[in-house]
Order: sequence, then C-alpha cells, then structure tokens
Amino acid sequence: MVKYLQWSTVGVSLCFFMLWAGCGPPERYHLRPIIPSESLEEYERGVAGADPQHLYELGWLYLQKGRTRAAKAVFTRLVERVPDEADAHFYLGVAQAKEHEKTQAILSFRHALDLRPGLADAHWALALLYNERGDGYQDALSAAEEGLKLDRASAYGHFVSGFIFCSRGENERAEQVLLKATELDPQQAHAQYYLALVYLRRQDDEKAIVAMEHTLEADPSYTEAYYSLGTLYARTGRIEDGQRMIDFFQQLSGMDMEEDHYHRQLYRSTQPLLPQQQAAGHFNLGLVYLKRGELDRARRQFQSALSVDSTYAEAQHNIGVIYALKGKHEEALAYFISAVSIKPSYALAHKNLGNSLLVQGAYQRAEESFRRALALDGDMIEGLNGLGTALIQQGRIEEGRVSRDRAVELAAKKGSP
Amino acid sequence: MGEKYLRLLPFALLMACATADDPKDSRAYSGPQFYDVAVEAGLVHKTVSGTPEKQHIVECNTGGTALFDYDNDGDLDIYLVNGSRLQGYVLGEEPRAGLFRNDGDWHFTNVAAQAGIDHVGWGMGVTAVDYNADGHTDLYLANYGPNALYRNEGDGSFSNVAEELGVGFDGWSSAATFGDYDGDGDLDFYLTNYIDFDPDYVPADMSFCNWRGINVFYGPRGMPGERDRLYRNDGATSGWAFVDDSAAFGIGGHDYYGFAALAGDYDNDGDLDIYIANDSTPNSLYRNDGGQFSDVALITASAYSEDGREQGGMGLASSDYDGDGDLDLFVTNFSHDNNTLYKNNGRGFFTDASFTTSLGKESITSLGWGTGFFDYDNDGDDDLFVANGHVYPAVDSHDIGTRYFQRNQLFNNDGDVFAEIGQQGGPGLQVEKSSRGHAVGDIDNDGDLDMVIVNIDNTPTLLRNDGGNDKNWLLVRLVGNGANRQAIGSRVVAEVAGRKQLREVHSGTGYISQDDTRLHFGLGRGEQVDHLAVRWPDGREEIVENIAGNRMITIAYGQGIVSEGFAVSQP
Repeated sequence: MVKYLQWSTVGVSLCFFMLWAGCGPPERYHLRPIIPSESLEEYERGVAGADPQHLYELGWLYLQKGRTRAAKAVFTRLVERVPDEADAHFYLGVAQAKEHEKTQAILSFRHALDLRPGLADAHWALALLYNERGDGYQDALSAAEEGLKLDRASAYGHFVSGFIFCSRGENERAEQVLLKATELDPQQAHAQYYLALVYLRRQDDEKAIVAMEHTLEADPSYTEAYYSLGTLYARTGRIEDGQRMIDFFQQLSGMDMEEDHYHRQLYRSTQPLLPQQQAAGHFNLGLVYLKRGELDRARRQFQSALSVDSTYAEAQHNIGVIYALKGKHEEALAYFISAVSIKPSYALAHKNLGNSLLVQGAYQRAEESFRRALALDGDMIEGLNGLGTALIQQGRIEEGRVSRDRAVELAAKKGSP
Repeated sequence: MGEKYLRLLPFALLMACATADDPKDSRAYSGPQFYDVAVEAGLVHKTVSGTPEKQHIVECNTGGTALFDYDNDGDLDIYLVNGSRLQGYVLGEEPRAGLFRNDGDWHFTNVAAQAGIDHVGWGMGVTAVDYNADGHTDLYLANYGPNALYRNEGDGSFSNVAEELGVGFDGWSSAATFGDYDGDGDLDFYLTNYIDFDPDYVPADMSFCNWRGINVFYGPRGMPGERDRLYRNDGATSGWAFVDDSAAFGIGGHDYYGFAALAGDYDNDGDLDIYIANDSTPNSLYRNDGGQFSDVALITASAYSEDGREQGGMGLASSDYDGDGDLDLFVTNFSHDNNTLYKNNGRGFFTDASFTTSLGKESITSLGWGTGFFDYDNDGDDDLFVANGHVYPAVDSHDIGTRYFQRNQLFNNDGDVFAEIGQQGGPGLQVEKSSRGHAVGDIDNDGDLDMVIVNIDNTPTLLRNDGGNDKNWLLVRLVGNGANRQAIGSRVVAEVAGRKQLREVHSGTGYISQDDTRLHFGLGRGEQVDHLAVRWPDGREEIVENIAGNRMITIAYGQGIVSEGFAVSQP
C-alpha cells in the first residue's frame, strides 16, 4: 500500500509538472527578417518560378510600397506553398488587414499563432484589429497582454497597449505603458509619438514637445509629428519654428500618410522619404535646437542630415557655426570650406568662413572670403565689418575704415546697431 | 456571516461596481425626455435624395433645415430643404422644399407653396437671415444647381432674387454663413462649395470607389473641389446687391470639399473669423485682420485630427463649452474616425480635446452630421447633440461595426467630460435613421430647447423637450442697428451666480442648417441673470443687470431691454 502511495505521489507530481510545463508561456518566436536584395521590378520578373523566400521578399516590398492588394495575392500564394510557416500567415494577415478584410485577417493571425504560439507580433496585430472600430476594447487589451506575456521587453508590445489606452482616452494608463516602451527603446517612434499625444491632450506642452522631438529624432519620416510639433511650437510662442515645421509637413503630407491610422500602427509601410527630404527633416530639427542653444543636439541632427545627403551645404555650414560657437575654429573652418565648395553662392557661409579665418589669423584668406560674400550680398553688414578688420589687420587701414564706415551706414539705414 | 455569503461577496461587489460605473444605468438619469412628435405635429415631409442605393455622392448630402420666425408672430417656423434625383422628375411631381408654419400647440402647416418658397431643385443647405434689414427674415438656399435667395416680402410671401442680386452661383454649394466681415455694418456671406461635380465622370482610379472593402460611389477624393466664395454686400444703395470679392478678402486659395462654416470671434479680437469643416481635406480657419483673411488652421492646430490626419469634416458647432471665455470648436466626421473637439487656449490656438472629454471614443462607429452645443437641461453649461447616419447603405451587409441608420447622440456636459445620455433621454433619441442637418430652438416657447432633424429619404424627427424647463432660463433676442438687424456676430456673456456663459449670434449652424438666433441661457437654480454684457458687431458694449429668469427679453442696440415676452416688437 505504501509503495502504491509512493508511486501515486510520484505520478501526481509528474502530472502537475507536465501540467505546469504545458501551461507555461511558449517560447517567444520572432518573425524572420526579410531583406530584399533586388528591386521590385527584378522580383516581379522572377515571380513565375519563385521560391518561398522570393515570395516573402516580393510581398514585403509590395507592403512597403502600399500595394496591399498585390501583397495579399503574393502572400496567399506563399501560404499555399508553405502552409506550415507562421510567418507566411502573419504577413498574409497584414495584407488582408490593410485591404480591410478584417475577418480573414483575424483568421490568418490566429492561424499563425496556432503554428507558432510564441509569435507575439500576431497577438499585437490582433489587438490593433480588435481595437480598430471602437467596440473591441477589452479583447484588444487582452490580446496585447497575451503578446506582452511572451515578451515583456518589447517596446512595440508596450506601445500597442499604450495606443489602445490612448484610443479610449485613458491617458494615465497610456502614459504609464508608453513611458515603459520608451524606456525599453527610446527609438520606438510610435511610442514617443503617442506619449507626446498624451501630454498634448493634457496641455502639458513642454513635455509634449520633448516627446515629439524624440519621435522625429527616432524616425524623421514620421510625417504627422512635424505637424504636431509645429502646432506646439506655435502655441508656445515659437511661431517661426512652428511655421517651419508646418511648411515641411505640408511638403511631405500626402506622400506617406495613410488614411487609416490603425493600420499605420499595425504595420507601418515605411515608404522612405527621399534622401533630400529626410535630410531636411533632420536639418529643420537641428535649426530649432540651434536656436535654443542646444548645440550638441543640434549638431547631431545636422550630422544626421549629412549622413543622408552629404551635399547639404546648409547643414555643413551650421555644424561650422556650432564649432565656431564652441571656439573650435579649426573644425569650423573645415565645415565652412565644405559648405562653400558645395554651394559657391552661399554668401553667409563665405562670411562665416571669413570670420573663422580671421580668428586663425589668416587675414588675406579672410579678406578673400569676405569679398566673395559681399559679391553675393553687398548689404551684408557683418561681411563689411569683417572685411574691414581683415584689411586693417593687413595694415590697409584706410581701406578697412571705408569698409567699416559702409557697415555703420548700412546698419543705420536698417535700424540695427 | 455564513460561508455561503462570503463566497457570494466578491460577486456582489463586482456587480455593485459594474452598476456604479455603468453610464447607461437608467436609474442614474432623471433629466429631460425628448419625444418625436413629427407625425402628430404634421411635419410629414419626405426628404428625397436620389436612389436608395446611393450610386453617386450627390445622393447622400442634402438635408438642411432652419428654425426661424418667417411671419414675425413670435414662434419658430420650420423650413426643410429637399433634394432630387439625377434623372429628374416629370413636371409637377418634383420634390419640393417645405415651409411649416408654427400654428402653436405643436401643430404645423406646410405653407411653402402659398409663400412661393416650395423650391424645386437639388437643395443642400439653408440659412435664415435678414440680409436687407427690413425686419423680415429671408432664406438663402445652397444647392446643387443655382443657389436661391428668397426675399421675405413681409406679407407671407417670398421672391427669389438670387440672380438679380448676383448670388445665384450655379455649382454645388453646401451652405452660406452671413456676417459683417468687412466691418461696414451690412451682412456679407461666405459660401461653402463642395465638388465640381460631373455625374457622368468615370474615374480612372477605381481605388476611390472602395471603402473598407466595400464597393461604394466615387468621391469626394479624386474629384475636383469647388472653391468657396466670399460675397461682399454692397448695401442699401445698391439694392442690397452682392459681389464675389473672394480675392480681395484673401479667400479662395484652396479647392477643398466644403460643408459647414461658422463665423465667430475665435481669437477674441472683436471681429468675425470663419471656420470651415471640409470633407476629406484639412479644415480651414480664416482669421480676420481688418477685413483681410488668412487661413491659420494649420498653425493653430485646428486643421487636422490630433495625430495630423485630415478628416471627413461634416458639421460644425462652436461654443464656450468649458466656460473659460473663448469659443471652442466641434467637428463631426466620417465613421471609423472620431469627431473632433478643438479646445481654444484663449489666443486662437487649439488643443484637440476629443479624447480627454470622451467625445472621441463615443464617435468611432458613427458618422456625424448635424451638431450643436445647447443647454438641453438648463443647468447652465453647454451640452452637445450629434445627428448620425451613414452615407453607404451597403455597410449593412458587411460586418464592419457600423450601420446605415444610426442613433443620434446627446452628450451631457459633466464638467471635464461629456457623457452620452441618449439612451436615457427619451424615445425621441432612440430613433434610428440616416440623419443629416438639424436645428435647435425653443419651438414651443416654454424655456427649453427643442430640435428638428432631417433624415435622408425619410421624414424628419421633431424632438420636443419635456422637462428641460424644470430649471430656470432666459431667452434673449437681439435687435441690431443699421443693416445688421439680427445682430449677427454679437457676443453676449451672461453671469449667473458668479458663473459666466458665452453666446454668439451665429448665421448658419450645425450641418448646413440654421438654429434659432435667439440666445438661450440655462440658469440652473438661479432665479436671475446678475449681469448680461452684449458686445454688438461694431464693438459697442452694453450691460443689463438683474434680469429675472424664465422669460424672453428683447435688447435693442443702444436701448437696453425694449420688451419682454415672445411677441415680436420692431424697435
């Protein structure tokens, strides 16, 4: 009897263990990255005998281009080819959701979860879909939580929860999870943006500005953030900065704006901005920081602009200005030289180059730079002053005085000191 | 306590919590009830608008209505615009607009034919305005087709003088909004226009004919917008002729799809600015700087949703809902999107307060049209009504969370948030139709606000407010000087027990409709208005003090209170 009991105890323990093991969260499964190596046209040419990887990449490119119907067709074909791959079902769900086939999309995401219970992304996709029309709030929250159970360290997962709270006006709860998301990954632009919206709703404009700026630092193609930031600057009295952001927003809007914001969060089709536009985004932000005296932050934005478009003369110039402000004239000089070599008609850069040369004691070169600046803009008071100094330093006192007198005369006309 | 009770306790607590938190708990509401009395009142007038299937965009937008006193007998009459169909009608069988004379005791008679105002054509919006300052309210009809200006002859008849006065724009207009925009004393008007519409046009890009997987009619996206216009009134010496002076005013840079417009002093600088709800394009806010307008909607954060998207603007309401002394804005939008409340920060800059006030989340599944702030329960704050109804009948055969017929919504202002109380607000608020324009006014002169609502392809809803006058009230009629007798653009601030309420006389309200221009103030339990300040359109201020409640007063420019009671006097 004792022996029987012992075995029975072991048996029960084993059952509990198995039950415990079975109830634990499945292992997190990550979608395999899709990295197309060819152009869309190349993929389209080779579609006839395509292998699954080819279809993944083609469908992904279609999603990126917003061609959701074509993406759906490709992923439907992919699912037929590899019915046991959760990734294929997931991407089909994305395409279906974007085609407003909500019921089918839900089935695809669930199918993906059947195949890979650890696919947290499918839970989050479901959460966004449930939340979409306003009547699936609780289901949406539950689905978001299911995803987080699989991956507590996911900034995107926390963003999804925050977005759902946000959509119901639950700003305190939204703030809590969105802050967590941004802690986990400050580059999570969605989380930064919706955190900014929470602050905006509370009329905490300063906090909203910070979060909105973080959004754009994380993703300069986050078009709507330029609008929101512009209105925030304007409302807080920085009309010129606000107008600049709004002008830029107007240049960009319509290009990558998706009408349906829910789907935007579900799977952002990052139609990348043109390099010049992306650079302009960084540049505009850099200008704001520069005006605020946040020199390092500004320089990072100008550097980012240059990393996208190295021929951005104004960005080169402004980095030069920042170095000059910090007293690093050698570094400044290099950037000013670069700016004028890219854009020889850039009067301001010639003038600032002249200033840096003056500081370095290269009076003759400074004179040349000031003269170039003044040839482009004869009314540049600082240029005339600089030229005067360069001439005087070379011993050409009378010429120098004439130039300075001209500067004084112009300043009086313009009403400036 | 027995074990059995302990086990039940968590359940009981849960239930108690659910009851306390449930805003639809019928026991929590004991306010006014709205009853639909349209049929008994004789307001049986079908609004026709194309085919039931809605094959073209023009078939889904009509629906203006006006509450105004056309015969100066002291009560509100009702005008109902009517639509048409693209293939036309046999002569004599066309749908006609209706003018329903208020005979008292909730009975109305259609006198449109005898008054010569049974307009035939595809009507959209209506504005009631005394454009020629003769003391008789005229009507401007915005149409798909030539617009009409019906001059009230003062003898119960109207004459269409649109062509004669240069205001018969022939296109697709939505509504007219009158105001003294150039400060010369007479009434100019802003005309919102929608689409440069060609029913035979077949779009090259059929993606515009698909909405959430449903095949739908084409537009407005993909169609050319029709430019709005601003007409200047040349005054009495010209015979009250108007001239399209849009360019001189600085208007007309956009070809947006315009629906509703509201003129109010949004930046508190004493002149009339114009806000426009545009469909599928950014909304506009034209700031008035000495008769020169510039669109500042983008920079003031009133063009888009909070997340920078253009919305499908339909109707428009404005009031100082939060009692901070400036005009806020509310715009109704398409379904699967939220209606938007723009809270004014005081200097004409706005913050999107849709989701902090609950109005956003309550509007996702509905498609809003007519809307207006009004104090339905006379408690001294501004509540909000939204008329709903989809444009695509096909939504009923798809599981996308919305329906063609929708319940209208009444939001009670609870301070920081608005609570939807339509479910408890009486049977009249349970009606489900596809509603469009609506107008608010005290139809039975009993001190609370009633409503008329236009329903497309259907008869209107006439909502009688029962119990709103349990609390006190004051109705103020302003008589302006010179050419602006209705005192359009005047601002009145009433102070009751230390609390201020701000009202402006608006021309053109809600969705292409016209509310009563008398200003209604709920006084709560207060028995009088302690201090009432009128700022007339020319900037002159006038103060009246200690006005007993539960009456209507008429204040004339420079004369203070000139009469009490509902009878119309002509100072």
